[in-house]
Amino acid sequence: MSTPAVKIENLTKIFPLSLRKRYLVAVEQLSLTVGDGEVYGLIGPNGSGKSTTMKVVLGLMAPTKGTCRVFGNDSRDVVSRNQVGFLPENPYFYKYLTGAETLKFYGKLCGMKGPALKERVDELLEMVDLTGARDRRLGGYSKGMLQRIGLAQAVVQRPRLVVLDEPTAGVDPSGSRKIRDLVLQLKKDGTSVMLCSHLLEQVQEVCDRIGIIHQGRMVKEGSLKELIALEDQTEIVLKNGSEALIEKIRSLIREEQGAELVTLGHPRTTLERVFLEETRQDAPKPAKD
Amino acid sequence: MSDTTTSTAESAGKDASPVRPPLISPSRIWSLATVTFTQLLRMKVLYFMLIFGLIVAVIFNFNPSGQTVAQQLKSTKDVSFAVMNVFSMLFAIASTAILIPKDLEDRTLYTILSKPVPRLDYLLGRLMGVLMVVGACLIIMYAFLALVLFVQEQILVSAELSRLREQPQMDSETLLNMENDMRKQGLHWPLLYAPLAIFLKACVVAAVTLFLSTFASSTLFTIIVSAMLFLIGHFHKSTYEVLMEDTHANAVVALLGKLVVLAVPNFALFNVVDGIAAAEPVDPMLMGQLFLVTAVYTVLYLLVALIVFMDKEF
Repeated sequence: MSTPAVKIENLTKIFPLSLRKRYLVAVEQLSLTVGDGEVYGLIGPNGSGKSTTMKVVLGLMAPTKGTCRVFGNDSRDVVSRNQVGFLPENPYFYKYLTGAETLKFYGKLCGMKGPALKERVDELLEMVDLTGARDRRLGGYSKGMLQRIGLAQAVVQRPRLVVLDEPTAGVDPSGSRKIRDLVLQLKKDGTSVMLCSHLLEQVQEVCDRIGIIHQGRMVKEGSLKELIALEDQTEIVLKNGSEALIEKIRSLIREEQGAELVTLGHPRTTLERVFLEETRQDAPKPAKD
Repeated sequence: MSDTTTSTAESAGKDASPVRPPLISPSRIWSLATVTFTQLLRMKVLYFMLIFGLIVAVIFNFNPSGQTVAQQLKSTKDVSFAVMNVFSMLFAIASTAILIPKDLEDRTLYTILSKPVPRLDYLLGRLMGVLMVVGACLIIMYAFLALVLFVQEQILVSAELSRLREQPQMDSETLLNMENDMRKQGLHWPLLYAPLAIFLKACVVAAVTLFLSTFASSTLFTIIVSAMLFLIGHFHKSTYEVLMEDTHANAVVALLGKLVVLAVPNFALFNVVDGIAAAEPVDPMLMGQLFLVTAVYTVLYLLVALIVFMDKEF
């Protein structure tokens, strides 16, 4: 069995609030495991302890109690960061650097250099669709572009674990979709991902397992299937079903003891899907009067 | 979306054991230093050079009656070195004070420290970047001063010699001595010791500021306290003498005073620029001592900064 990407055991993080011995317990007895190659979603309301947990994983904070290991290494040890990439929420990179310079800088911090680094920078810019903006300073990047360059820097050294904090915060649906596709690509490549997001739909789309954290404690955890399946309900989607057929189904349901028809109607697409469909570059233009 | 991440995890080598990054990596420190250098340059700090140029140009054209050629040349050096000193200290304090809080505010610090970057490398890289900017500024300012001083020397000395030659009682030996006296205040290699001494002082000031910024709650606090320590450091000797001689002083006050004397660098040691500007001979041993003092203070303050920064949580 491979070493888990992240293994947190009984993590407690307490912040002193003042000199009068008042404390804030940000995270309490939290345990979670992100398997190697797994996409794990950590969701919870604001102030629930998500960011604190992430910072402990990244070694930016030390646990008050408990342990946190990244691929078997203590998260406080700099060696654990060899295999980790991080994209913070609303990142502001050095705005005076160009996209290519930014990736080069982060690559060098990871010990990369020479032609290998140059090749990697070109590869990443292509991956995040920013080749055309490679020589533009980040000060002139849009929010979505910044998030994408942020994601590119997070994976510059080909980490085995990528930690993403609200990766699509403030990004339009199209940019959001691009980032989601990148996360799916990472998943396909076998990279472990720890994702914190308020966008539950997005978490649902990409995560293998999800943990719900509230007031510093893990309140529910499991695979997506386990969490969202309504075991006592069955969904049937019909295409071109006549009124008569639907009526037959209704009567069959009425005949079944204990069975109940919960909803009946036309399935709806998501607003996101409609928006993306309508704003596609190759979408037909609306007719003019 | 391209398929270029395919090799992401595989290339990393899933079974590859993590390599411990060296405690100090020159290439990583250099990357951080060059980014700091670029950051400060693109913040247009070199516009300050224009002010320096303007001040030197004003002195060049300022010729109060009664001043000899030697006095005029010395004035150019005095004012230029004073401005270089003030600018360097301002650069060293302001740019160092701004870096860590800005990185924290913009969350760039998160992305840097979440890479395999030991915190010592981060501090060293930032400090080195600031010192590269200060060094570059000093080189530019000194080059400008050297040019102005050279031109001023040629114009003033030639004019003065022409005037003296017209005097009937002037013999060639006296003329030569007078020319040597005037040229002594002109451009000479030992003048280079002045920007060097200013740079060494800036190294210590930047190290002190870096230490303060590791725990300060605001940039303003860091700037004010650094400036205060800089001023106190100039009265190091007199403070020490007063404390040693005043046996009736309150014990707590005396202890606090001694602590301040111990903790604050003695910036008065670096006050060699006036002598250099006055064309006094410079003892290379003194410069060697200054290097040593700078190294000791810088390393000490970096160590204390590292102790604070190592345990800092973000």
